[in-house]
Amino acid sequence: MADWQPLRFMQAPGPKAGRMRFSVYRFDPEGDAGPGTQEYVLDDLTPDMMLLDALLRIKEQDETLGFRRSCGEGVCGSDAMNINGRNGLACITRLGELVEPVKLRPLPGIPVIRDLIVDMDNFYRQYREVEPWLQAREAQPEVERFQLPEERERLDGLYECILCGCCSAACPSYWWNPDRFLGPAALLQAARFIEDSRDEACDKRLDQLDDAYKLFRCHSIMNCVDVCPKGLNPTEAIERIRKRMLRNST
Amino acid sequence: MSGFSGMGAWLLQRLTAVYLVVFTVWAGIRLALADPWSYAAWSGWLGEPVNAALAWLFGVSLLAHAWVGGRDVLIDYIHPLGLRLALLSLLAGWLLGSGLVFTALVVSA
Amino acid sequence: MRPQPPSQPRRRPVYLDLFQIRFPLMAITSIAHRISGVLMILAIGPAVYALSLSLSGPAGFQRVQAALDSGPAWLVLVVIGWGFAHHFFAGLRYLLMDIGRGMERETARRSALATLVLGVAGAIAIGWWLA
Repeated sequence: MADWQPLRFMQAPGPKAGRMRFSVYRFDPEGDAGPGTQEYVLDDLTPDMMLLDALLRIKEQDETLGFRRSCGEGVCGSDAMNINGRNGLACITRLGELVEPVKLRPLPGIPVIRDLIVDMDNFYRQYREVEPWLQAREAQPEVERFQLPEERERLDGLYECILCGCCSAACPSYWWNPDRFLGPAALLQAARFIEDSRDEACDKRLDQLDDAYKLFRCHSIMNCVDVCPKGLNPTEAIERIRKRMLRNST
Repeated sequence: MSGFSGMGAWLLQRLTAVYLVVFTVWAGIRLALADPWSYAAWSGWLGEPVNAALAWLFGVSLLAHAWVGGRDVLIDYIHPLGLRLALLSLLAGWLLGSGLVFTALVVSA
Repeated sequence: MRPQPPSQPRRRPVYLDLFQIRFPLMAITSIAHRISGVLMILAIGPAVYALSLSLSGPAGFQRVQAALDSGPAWLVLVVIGWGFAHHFFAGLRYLLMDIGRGMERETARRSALATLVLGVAGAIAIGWWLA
Protein backbone atom coordinates (compact mmCIF):
# COMPACT_ATOMS: atom_id res chain seq x y z
CA MET A 1 0.00 0.00 0.00
CA ALA A 2 2.82 2.38 0.85
CA ASP A 3 4.04 1.72 -2.68
CA TRP A 4 0.86 3.17 -4.13
CA GLN A 5 1.96 6.51 -5.57
CA PRO A 6 -0.53 8.86 -3.89
CA LEU A 7 0.47 7.55 -0.46
CA ARG A 8 4.21 7.47 -0.98
CA PHE A 9 4.70 10.93 0.48
CA MET A 10 4.08 9.30 3.86
CA GLN A 11 7.32 7.38 3.54
CA ALA A 12 10.48 8.90 4.83
CA PRO A 13 12.59 10.52 2.11
CA GLY A 14 15.51 8.59 0.74
CA PRO A 15 18.68 7.60 2.52
CA LYS A 16 21.11 10.18 3.69
CA ALA A 17 23.85 8.42 1.74
CA GLY A 18 25.07 5.11 0.48
CA ARG A 19 22.95 2.58 -1.33
CA MET A 20 19.85 3.46 -3.33
CA ARG A 21 17.44 1.45 -5.42
CA PHE A 22 16.08 2.61 -8.76
CA SER A 23 13.26 1.25 -10.87
CA VAL A 24 13.65 2.42 -14.45
CA TYR A 25 11.21 2.21 -17.36
CA ARG A 26 12.70 0.21 -20.21
CA PHE A 27 11.55 -0.10 -23.78
CA ASP A 28 13.55 -1.41 -26.71
CA PRO A 29 12.03 -0.45 -30.08
CA GLU A 30 14.05 -3.17 -31.84
CA GLY A 31 13.02 -5.98 -29.51
CA ASP A 32 9.72 -7.83 -29.51
CA ALA A 33 8.87 -7.22 -25.88
CA GLY A 34 6.61 -4.43 -24.69
CA PRO A 35 7.69 -1.82 -22.19
CA GLY A 36 8.80 -2.96 -18.72
CA THR A 37 10.85 -1.82 -15.76
CA GLN A 38 14.32 -2.74 -14.57
CA GLU A 39 15.81 -2.49 -11.10
CA TYR A 40 19.25 -0.99 -10.46
CA VAL A 41 21.16 -0.60 -7.21
CA LEU A 42 23.90 1.97 -6.71
CA ASP A 43 26.34 2.31 -3.83
CA ASP A 44 28.31 5.24 -2.42
CA LEU A 45 25.74 7.89 -3.23
CA THR A 46 25.40 11.12 -1.28
CA PRO A 47 22.18 13.08 -0.74
CA ASP A 48 23.64 16.11 -2.49
CA MET A 49 24.20 14.21 -5.72
CA MET A 50 21.73 14.89 -8.47
CA LEU A 51 19.56 12.24 -10.03
CA LEU A 52 21.40 12.74 -13.32
CA ASP A 53 24.67 11.71 -11.59
CA ALA A 54 22.98 8.49 -10.55
CA LEU A 55 21.65 7.89 -14.07
CA LEU A 56 25.14 8.32 -15.49
CA ARG A 57 26.40 5.76 -12.95
CA ILE A 58 23.62 3.38 -13.98
CA LYS A 59 24.67 3.83 -17.58
CA GLU A 60 28.18 2.70 -16.63
CA GLN A 61 26.59 -0.53 -15.34
CA ASP A 62 24.26 -0.94 -18.29
CA GLU A 63 25.09 0.99 -21.41
CA THR A 64 21.86 -0.04 -23.14
CA LEU A 65 19.88 2.41 -20.99
CA GLY A 66 18.79 5.42 -23.03
CA PHE A 67 18.08 8.92 -21.71
CA ARG A 68 18.70 12.47 -22.91
CA ARG A 69 20.91 14.96 -21.15
CA SER A 70 23.07 17.88 -22.08
CA CYS A 71 23.88 20.86 -19.88
CA GLY A 72 23.42 19.12 -16.55
CA GLU A 73 22.30 22.28 -14.77
CA GLY A 74 18.63 22.82 -15.55
CA VAL A 75 19.09 25.13 -18.52
CA CYS A 76 18.72 22.96 -21.61
CA GLY A 77 15.69 20.95 -20.54
CA SER A 78 16.73 17.64 -22.13
CA ASP A 79 16.54 15.36 -19.09
CA ALA A 80 12.88 15.88 -18.26
CA MET A 81 11.28 12.69 -16.95
CA ASN A 82 8.70 11.42 -14.52
CA ILE A 83 10.44 11.04 -11.16
CA ASN A 84 8.44 9.20 -8.49
CA GLY A 85 5.23 10.20 -10.23
CA ARG A 86 6.14 13.83 -10.79
CA ASN A 87 7.71 15.44 -13.86
CA GLY A 88 11.04 17.13 -13.31
CA LEU A 89 14.60 17.55 -14.52
CA ALA A 90 16.99 14.80 -13.37
CA CYS A 91 19.94 17.21 -13.28
CA ILE A 92 18.43 19.50 -10.63
CA THR A 93 16.70 16.86 -8.51
CA ARG A 94 18.68 15.97 -5.40
CA LEU A 95 18.89 12.29 -4.47
CA GLY A 96 18.31 13.23 -0.83
CA GLU A 97 14.73 14.30 -1.51
CA LEU A 98 13.70 11.08 -3.26
CA VAL A 99 11.75 8.17 -1.82
CA GLU A 100 13.00 4.66 -2.64
CA PRO A 101 12.85 2.85 -4.92
CA VAL A 102 13.21 5.87 -7.14
CA LYS A 103 10.75 5.28 -9.95
CA LEU A 104 11.93 6.75 -13.22
CA ARG A 105 9.46 6.83 -16.08
CA PRO A 106 9.34 8.71 -19.39
CA LEU A 107 7.23 11.87 -19.60
CA PRO A 108 3.59 10.73 -19.43
CA GLY A 109 1.38 10.86 -22.49
CA ILE A 110 4.22 11.36 -24.97
CA PRO A 111 5.21 8.48 -27.30
CA VAL A 112 8.34 6.68 -26.16
CA ILE A 113 11.21 6.20 -28.62
CA ARG A 114 13.35 4.17 -26.22
CA ASP A 115 13.59 3.88 -22.42
CA LEU A 116 13.34 7.43 -21.02
CA ILE A 117 13.60 9.13 -24.42
CA VAL A 118 10.30 10.48 -25.74
CA ASP A 119 9.31 11.75 -29.16
CA MET A 120 9.01 15.53 -28.87
CA ASP A 121 8.08 16.13 -32.55
CA ASN A 122 4.46 16.98 -31.79
CA PHE A 123 5.54 19.24 -28.92
CA TYR A 124 7.91 21.19 -31.19
CA ARG A 125 5.33 21.31 -33.98
CA GLN A 126 2.96 23.01 -31.55
CA TYR A 127 5.70 25.41 -30.52
CA ARG A 128 6.13 26.39 -34.19
CA GLU A 129 2.37 26.65 -34.60
CA VAL A 130 2.16 29.67 -32.28
CA GLU A 131 4.76 31.42 -34.50
CA PRO A 132 7.20 32.20 -31.70
CA TRP A 133 8.89 35.15 -33.34
CA LEU A 134 8.29 38.88 -33.36
CA GLN A 135 6.02 39.98 -36.19
CA ALA A 136 6.09 43.61 -37.23
CA ARG A 137 5.02 44.98 -40.57
CA GLU A 138 6.49 48.38 -39.91
CA ALA A 139 9.82 49.00 -41.60
CA GLN A 140 12.88 48.21 -39.52
CA PRO A 141 13.79 51.36 -37.57
CA GLU A 142 17.26 52.91 -37.69
CA VAL A 143 18.28 51.77 -34.22
CA GLU A 144 15.96 49.31 -32.50
CA ARG A 145 12.33 48.79 -31.62
CA PHE A 146 11.87 50.72 -28.42
CA GLN A 147 10.06 49.32 -25.44
CA LEU A 148 9.21 50.97 -22.15
CA PRO A 149 10.53 49.29 -19.00
CA GLU A 150 6.91 48.53 -17.99
CA GLU A 151 6.27 46.90 -21.34
CA ARG A 152 9.39 44.81 -20.96
CA GLU A 153 8.32 43.78 -17.47
CA ARG A 154 5.17 42.20 -18.85
CA LEU A 155 7.35 39.55 -20.49
CA ASP A 156 8.83 38.41 -17.18
CA GLY A 157 7.73 34.87 -16.46
CA LEU A 158 6.98 34.26 -20.13
CA TYR A 159 10.35 34.20 -21.88
CA GLU A 160 12.30 31.98 -19.45
CA CYS A 161 10.78 28.70 -20.64
CA ILE A 162 13.34 26.05 -21.60
CA LEU A 163 10.85 23.82 -23.49
CA CYS A 164 11.59 20.75 -21.37
CA GLY A 165 8.00 19.53 -21.70
CA CYS A 166 7.40 18.82 -17.99
CA CYS A 167 4.25 20.98 -17.99
CA SER A 168 2.53 19.69 -21.10
CA ALA A 169 3.30 16.10 -20.07
CA ALA A 170 1.64 16.75 -16.68
CA CYS A 171 -1.53 18.24 -18.18
CA PRO A 172 -4.57 15.91 -18.38
CA SER A 173 -6.08 18.02 -21.16
CA TYR A 174 -2.88 17.46 -23.13
CA TRP A 175 -2.97 13.72 -22.47
CA TRP A 176 -6.47 13.42 -23.92
CA ASN A 177 -5.98 15.74 -26.91
CA PRO A 178 -2.22 16.00 -27.60
CA ASP A 179 -2.74 16.63 -31.30
CA ARG A 180 -5.29 19.43 -31.08
CA PHE A 181 -4.74 21.14 -27.71
CA LEU A 182 -1.53 23.17 -27.88
CA GLY A 183 -0.58 22.46 -24.26
CA PRO A 184 0.80 24.79 -21.57
CA ALA A 185 4.33 25.13 -23.02
CA ALA A 186 3.22 26.33 -26.48
CA LEU A 187 0.52 28.55 -24.98
CA LEU A 188 3.07 30.19 -22.66
CA GLN A 189 5.07 31.04 -25.78
CA ALA A 190 1.93 32.35 -27.48
CA ALA A 191 1.40 34.64 -24.48
CA ARG A 192 5.02 35.78 -24.66
CA PHE A 193 4.42 37.25 -28.13
CA ILE A 194 0.84 38.36 -27.56
CA GLU A 195 2.07 40.40 -24.58
CA ASP A 196 5.02 41.89 -26.46
CA SER A 197 4.43 45.60 -27.15
CA ARG A 198 6.57 45.41 -30.31
CA ASP A 199 4.55 42.60 -31.89
CA GLU A 200 1.90 43.72 -34.39
CA ALA A 201 0.25 40.36 -34.99
CA CYS A 202 -1.60 40.23 -31.68
CA ASP A 203 -5.09 40.17 -33.25
CA LYS A 204 -4.13 37.42 -35.66
CA ARG A 205 -2.57 35.38 -32.86
CA LEU A 206 -5.67 35.71 -30.72
CA ASP A 207 -7.90 34.78 -33.64
CA GLN A 208 -5.92 31.63 -34.31
CA LEU A 209 -6.33 30.45 -30.73
CA ASP A 210 -10.09 30.99 -30.58
CA ASP A 211 -11.51 27.53 -31.21
CA ALA A 212 -12.66 24.63 -29.06
CA TYR A 213 -9.23 22.97 -28.87
CA LYS A 214 -6.06 25.02 -29.23
CA LEU A 215 -6.45 27.01 -26.01
CA PHE A 216 -9.87 26.22 -24.62
CA ARG A 217 -9.11 22.62 -23.63
CA CYS A 218 -7.30 24.30 -20.71
CA HIS A 219 -9.45 23.95 -17.59
CA SER A 220 -7.01 25.71 -15.24
CA ILE A 221 -6.09 22.46 -13.49
CA MET A 222 -2.63 23.95 -12.78
CA ASN A 223 -0.63 20.70 -12.93
CA CYS A 224 1.67 22.66 -15.26
CA VAL A 225 2.37 25.24 -12.55
CA ASP A 226 2.95 22.48 -10.03
CA VAL A 227 5.76 20.82 -12.02
CA CYS A 228 7.50 23.65 -13.91
CA PRO A 229 11.20 23.37 -12.97
CA LYS A 230 11.69 27.06 -13.73
CA GLY A 231 8.81 28.13 -11.47
CA LEU A 232 6.79 29.59 -14.34
CA ASN A 233 3.02 29.87 -14.44
CA PRO A 234 1.52 28.74 -17.76
CA THR A 235 -2.03 28.81 -16.34
CA GLU A 236 -1.69 32.48 -15.58
CA ALA A 237 -0.28 33.09 -19.06
CA ILE A 238 -3.30 31.32 -20.58
CA GLU A 239 -5.59 33.41 -18.36
CA ARG A 240 -3.89 36.53 -19.73
CA ILE A 241 -4.52 35.40 -23.31
CA ARG A 242 -8.20 34.82 -22.47
CA LYS A 243 -8.43 38.28 -20.96
CA ARG A 244 -7.05 39.84 -24.15
CA MET A 245 -9.43 37.77 -26.27
CA LEU A 246 -12.30 38.97 -24.16
CA ARG A 247 -11.22 42.61 -24.48
CA ASN A 248 -10.83 42.17 -28.23
CA SER A 249 -14.21 40.56 -28.75
CA THR A 250 -16.22 43.16 -26.85
CA MET B 1 -13.22 28.50 -36.69
CA SER B 2 -14.18 31.02 -34.12
CA GLY B 3 -17.33 32.24 -32.50
CA PHE B 4 -19.20 30.08 -30.05
CA SER B 5 -16.90 27.11 -29.58
CA GLY B 6 -13.96 28.94 -28.00
CA MET B 7 -14.23 32.28 -26.23
CA GLY B 8 -18.01 32.38 -26.65
CA ALA B 9 -18.60 29.10 -24.83
CA TRP B 10 -16.13 30.04 -22.11
CA LEU B 11 -17.80 33.41 -21.57
CA LEU B 12 -21.27 31.86 -21.49
CA GLN B 13 -20.06 29.38 -18.88
CA ARG B 14 -18.70 32.18 -16.66
CA LEU B 15 -21.67 34.54 -17.04
CA THR B 16 -24.19 31.80 -16.26
CA ALA B 17 -22.00 30.71 -13.33
CA VAL B 18 -22.25 34.17 -11.80
CA TYR B 19 -26.04 34.21 -12.07
CA LEU B 20 -26.29 30.65 -10.75
CA VAL B 21 -24.30 31.64 -7.66
CA VAL B 22 -26.35 34.79 -7.04
CA PHE B 23 -29.70 33.07 -7.50
CA THR B 24 -28.77 30.02 -5.41
CA VAL B 25 -27.67 32.13 -2.49
CA TRP B 26 -30.76 34.36 -2.69
CA ALA B 27 -33.29 31.54 -3.23
CA GLY B 28 -31.54 29.35 -0.68
CA ILE B 29 -31.91 32.00 2.01
CA ARG B 30 -35.52 32.74 1.01
CA LEU B 31 -36.54 29.08 1.09
CA ALA B 32 -34.70 28.35 4.32
CA LEU B 33 -36.62 31.21 5.95
CA ALA B 34 -39.93 30.04 4.46
CA ASP B 35 -40.60 27.57 7.27
CA PRO B 36 -42.98 25.85 7.67
CA TRP B 37 -42.85 24.10 4.34
CA SER B 38 -46.25 23.75 2.73
CA TYR B 39 -47.71 23.43 -0.71
CA ALA B 40 -49.42 26.81 -0.40
CA ALA B 41 -46.20 28.62 0.52
CA TRP B 42 -44.23 26.80 -2.17
CA SER B 43 -46.60 27.30 -5.09
CA GLY B 44 -47.39 30.80 -3.86
CA TRP B 45 -43.71 31.71 -3.92
CA LEU B 46 -43.26 30.51 -7.47
CA GLY B 47 -46.57 32.12 -8.42
CA GLU B 48 -45.09 35.58 -7.91
CA PRO B 49 -44.20 36.83 -11.42
CA VAL B 50 -40.82 38.23 -10.33
CA ASN B 51 -39.84 35.00 -8.61
CA ALA B 52 -41.04 32.97 -11.57
CA ALA B 53 -39.04 35.09 -14.00
CA LEU B 54 -35.87 34.85 -11.89
CA ALA B 55 -36.37 31.11 -11.45
CA TRP B 56 -36.89 30.66 -15.17
CA LEU B 57 -33.70 32.59 -15.88
CA PHE B 58 -31.97 30.32 -13.37
CA GLY B 59 -33.22 27.24 -15.22
CA VAL B 60 -32.05 28.56 -18.58
CA SER B 61 -28.65 29.54 -17.15
CA LEU B 62 -28.30 26.14 -15.52
CA LEU B 63 -29.02 24.35 -18.78
CA ALA B 64 -26.64 26.56 -20.78
CA HIS B 65 -23.97 26.05 -18.12
CA ALA B 66 -24.57 22.29 -18.16
CA TRP B 67 -24.33 22.24 -21.96
CA VAL B 68 -20.93 23.97 -22.04
CA GLY B 69 -19.59 21.79 -19.22
CA GLY B 70 -21.00 18.52 -20.55
CA ARG B 71 -19.72 19.33 -24.02
CA ASP B 72 -16.25 19.97 -22.57
CA VAL B 73 -16.27 16.57 -20.87
CA LEU B 74 -17.28 14.81 -24.09
CA ILE B 75 -14.70 16.68 -26.21
CA ASP B 76 -11.99 15.75 -23.72
CA TYR B 77 -12.70 12.05 -23.38
CA ILE B 78 -14.80 10.82 -26.33
CA HIS B 79 -12.84 10.86 -29.56
CA PRO B 80 -14.72 8.65 -32.09
CA LEU B 81 -16.79 11.25 -33.92
CA GLY B 82 -19.95 9.17 -34.26
CA LEU B 83 -20.09 8.27 -30.59
CA ARG B 84 -19.32 11.85 -29.59
CA LEU B 85 -22.12 13.23 -31.77
CA ALA B 86 -24.51 10.63 -30.39
CA LEU B 87 -23.66 11.55 -26.80
CA LEU B 88 -23.80 15.27 -27.56
CA SER B 89 -27.29 14.77 -29.04
CA LEU B 90 -28.30 12.78 -25.98
CA LEU B 91 -27.04 15.58 -23.73
CA ALA B 92 -28.84 18.21 -25.83
CA GLY B 93 -32.07 16.19 -25.69
CA TRP B 94 -31.78 15.67 -21.94
CA LEU B 95 -31.23 19.38 -21.33
CA LEU B 96 -33.77 20.66 -23.87
CA GLY B 97 -36.42 18.24 -22.62
CA SER B 98 -35.82 19.31 -19.02
CA GLY B 99 -35.88 22.93 -20.13
CA LEU B 100 -39.23 22.62 -21.91
CA VAL B 101 -40.89 20.86 -18.98
CA PHE B 102 -39.38 23.41 -16.60
CA THR B 103 -40.63 26.33 -18.72
CA ALA B 104 -44.14 24.87 -18.80
CA LEU B 105 -44.08 24.45 -15.02
CA VAL B 106 -42.91 27.98 -14.32
CA VAL B 107 -45.41 29.51 -16.75
CA SER B 108 -48.36 27.62 -15.28
CA ALA B 109 -47.34 28.09 -11.65
CA MET C 1 14.95 -12.60 -50.51
CA ARG C 2 13.01 -9.41 -50.77
CA PRO C 3 14.66 -6.36 -49.20
CA GLN C 4 13.20 -5.18 -45.96
CA PRO C 5 11.29 -1.91 -46.12
CA PRO C 6 13.58 0.91 -44.99
CA SER C 7 11.89 1.25 -41.67
CA GLN C 8 9.36 -0.97 -40.00
CA PRO C 9 6.26 0.72 -38.65
CA ARG C 10 7.59 2.35 -35.53
CA ARG C 11 6.42 1.05 -32.19
CA ARG C 12 5.80 3.93 -29.84
CA PRO C 13 4.28 2.99 -26.51
CA VAL C 14 2.85 5.77 -24.36
CA TYR C 15 3.46 5.79 -20.62
CA LEU C 16 0.34 6.97 -18.83
CA ASP C 17 -0.19 5.00 -15.63
CA LEU C 18 -2.65 7.17 -13.73
CA PHE C 19 -2.05 5.22 -10.51
CA GLN C 20 1.67 5.93 -10.63
CA ILE C 21 1.45 9.58 -11.54
CA ARG C 22 1.26 11.90 -8.57
CA PHE C 23 -1.55 14.43 -8.74
CA PRO C 24 -1.33 17.72 -6.85
CA LEU C 25 -4.30 18.92 -4.79
CA MET C 26 -5.33 21.24 -7.61
CA ALA C 27 -5.82 18.25 -9.88
CA ILE C 28 -7.95 16.41 -7.31
CA THR C 29 -10.16 19.48 -6.86
CA SER C 30 -10.42 19.82 -10.62
CA ILE C 31 -11.48 16.23 -11.33
CA ALA C 32 -13.95 16.42 -8.45
CA HIS C 33 -15.35 19.59 -10.04
CA ARG C 34 -15.90 17.60 -13.21
CA ILE C 35 -17.39 14.56 -11.50
CA SER C 36 -19.75 16.73 -9.47
CA GLY C 37 -20.79 18.56 -12.63
CA VAL C 38 -21.66 15.34 -14.44
CA LEU C 39 -23.50 14.14 -11.35
CA MET C 40 -25.67 17.23 -11.39
CA ILE C 41 -26.35 16.99 -15.13
CA LEU C 42 -27.74 13.53 -14.40
CA ALA C 43 -29.79 14.98 -11.53
CA ILE C 44 -31.45 17.65 -13.70
CA GLY C 45 -34.13 15.32 -15.09
CA PRO C 46 -35.19 13.84 -11.72
CA ALA C 47 -35.11 17.32 -10.21
CA VAL C 48 -37.50 18.69 -12.82
CA TYR C 49 -39.75 15.66 -12.26
CA ALA C 50 -39.76 16.26 -8.51
CA LEU C 51 -40.50 19.94 -9.12
CA SER C 52 -43.47 19.15 -11.36
CA LEU C 53 -44.82 16.71 -8.81
CA SER C 54 -44.42 19.21 -5.98
CA LEU C 55 -46.35 21.83 -7.95
CA SER C 56 -49.13 19.47 -9.06
CA GLY C 57 -51.12 19.96 -5.84
CA PRO C 58 -50.99 19.36 -2.11
CA ALA C 59 -51.00 15.59 -2.63
CA GLY C 60 -48.03 15.70 -5.00
CA PHE C 61 -46.19 18.03 -2.63
CA GLN C 62 -46.75 15.52 0.19
CA ARG C 63 -45.45 12.70 -1.99
CA VAL C 64 -42.24 14.58 -2.78
CA GLN C 65 -41.73 15.42 0.89
CA ALA C 66 -42.29 11.79 1.89
CA ALA C 67 -39.91 10.54 -0.79
CA LEU C 68 -37.23 13.00 0.29
CA ASP C 69 -37.57 11.82 3.88
CA SER C 70 -36.83 8.19 3.05
CA GLY C 71 -33.48 6.53 3.77
CA PRO C 72 -32.26 5.88 0.20
CA ALA C 73 -33.25 9.42 -0.80
CA TRP C 74 -31.15 10.73 2.07
CA LEU C 75 -28.06 9.04 0.68
CA VAL C 76 -28.76 10.28 -2.85
CA LEU C 77 -29.33 13.80 -1.55
CA VAL C 78 -26.09 13.77 0.42
CA VAL C 79 -24.18 12.72 -2.69
CA ILE C 80 -25.92 15.38 -4.81
CA GLY C 81 -25.37 17.81 -1.95
CA TRP C 82 -21.66 17.11 -2.02
CA GLY C 83 -21.71 17.59 -5.78
CA PHE C 84 -23.50 20.88 -5.44
CA ALA C 85 -21.31 22.21 -2.61
CA HIS C 86 -18.07 21.16 -4.27
CA HIS C 87 -19.10 22.51 -7.67
CA PHE C 88 -20.26 25.75 -6.08
CA PHE C 89 -17.01 26.44 -4.21
CA ALA C 90 -14.73 25.13 -6.97
CA GLY C 91 -16.64 27.37 -9.37
CA LEU C 92 -16.12 30.38 -7.12
CA ARG C 93 -12.42 29.51 -7.02
CA TYR C 94 -12.23 29.53 -10.82
CA LEU C 95 -14.20 32.78 -11.05
CA LEU C 96 -11.73 34.38 -8.65
CA MET C 97 -8.88 33.09 -10.78
CA ASP C 98 -10.52 34.64 -13.84
CA ILE C 99 -10.22 38.04 -12.21
CA GLY C 100 -6.61 37.27 -11.40
CA ARG C 101 -6.92 36.15 -7.76
CA GLY C 102 -5.13 33.13 -6.33
CA MET C 103 -3.09 32.17 -9.38
CA GLU C 104 0.17 31.59 -7.52
CA ARG C 105 1.15 27.99 -6.92
CA GLU C 106 0.90 28.02 -3.14
CA THR C 107 -2.34 30.02 -3.04
CA ALA C 108 -3.87 27.73 -5.64
CA ARG C 109 -2.89 24.70 -3.57
CA ARG C 110 -4.42 26.13 -0.42
CA SER C 111 -7.63 27.19 -2.17
CA ALA C 112 -7.84 23.71 -3.71
CA LEU C 113 -7.66 22.16 -0.26
CA ALA C 114 -10.22 24.63 1.09
CA THR C 115 -12.57 23.73 -1.77
CA LEU C 116 -12.31 20.01 -1.03
CA VAL C 117 -12.98 20.61 2.65
CA LEU C 118 -15.93 22.92 1.97
CA GLY C 119 -17.44 20.38 -0.42
CA VAL C 120 -17.35 17.64 2.20
CA ALA C 121 -18.56 20.06 4.86
CA GLY C 122 -21.48 20.95 2.60
CA ALA C 123 -22.39 17.30 2.21
CA ILE C 124 -22.28 16.80 5.99
CA ALA C 125 -24.39 19.91 6.57
CA ILE C 126 -27.03 18.77 4.10
CA GLY C 127 -27.04 15.25 5.54
CA TRP C 128 -27.46 16.64 9.06
CA TRP C 129 -30.17 19.10 8.01
CA LEU C 130 -32.18 16.39 6.22
CA ALA C 131 -31.75 13.75 8.92
